[in-house]
Amino acid sequence: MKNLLFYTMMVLSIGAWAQQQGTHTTDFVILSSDLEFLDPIIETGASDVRDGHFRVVFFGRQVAEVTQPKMRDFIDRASKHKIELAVCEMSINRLGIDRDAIPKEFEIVGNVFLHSLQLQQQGYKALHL
Amino acid sequence: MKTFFSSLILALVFISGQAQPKATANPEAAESNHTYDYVVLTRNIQQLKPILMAAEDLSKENGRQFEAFYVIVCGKAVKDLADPETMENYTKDAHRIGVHLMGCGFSLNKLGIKEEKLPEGIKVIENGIQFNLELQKQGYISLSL
Repeated sequence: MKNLLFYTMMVLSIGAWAQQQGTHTTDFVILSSDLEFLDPIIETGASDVRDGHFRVVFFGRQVAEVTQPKMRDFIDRASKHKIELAVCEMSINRLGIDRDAIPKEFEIVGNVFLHSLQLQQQGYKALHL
Repeated sequence: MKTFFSSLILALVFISGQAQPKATANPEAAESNHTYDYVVLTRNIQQLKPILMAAEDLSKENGRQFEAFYVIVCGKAVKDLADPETMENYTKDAHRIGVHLMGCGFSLNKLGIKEEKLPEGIKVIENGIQFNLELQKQGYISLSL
């Protein structure tokens, strides 16, 4: 009985201590309508500042560029560093882009601004380029 | 007996882990003493005027002062950073208000602009995006334009 009490208190104490330590991570979402920042985005996603989810969502006229072969290097580097890629469906539709032409690494999100606001409600930090 | 004392110590550790921090006795006083830090990322040099005006208003509002206010210029707008005529008033105002003007190193390198060409009062940060996110992680209020 005494040993049961001891071990129970030990387990509960370890749990309380672990709770105090916490494992807080920060998630980031970057909205990008401009492809000139691909390199610093990759460098940031690969850096120590990132310890949680790191998501890049493309929207606007530049979305058409993601289907081009020249984007493959960026896509591969993003995948290597587990950077999540997405494109705005509204932009795809407005530009008449074939959905099947979007590389498989990109998630298609309905509305980039709604998506960003929803992620920020979940605690994401956001940056708009 | 030993087991009893061990359990008692562990119980105290458990209880202290569950304790909540005390509420401030005077929340209003605490709120008025609170300062905020800001970081603004812009790709348009003309936005420096309203940004600096905002910083000046924030520094006067209800006696609040900010510990730090950074403005990061990224993209093609960095070419304007190297124009002394364009930047003269901006650097003076920024210095007066206590705003740090920064140019993104990635953007400067892309346009072939060397740090030495920048007027005094403008610092270079290697990666403006990473710097912005680092500051957000530290609790800075952020705006990106």
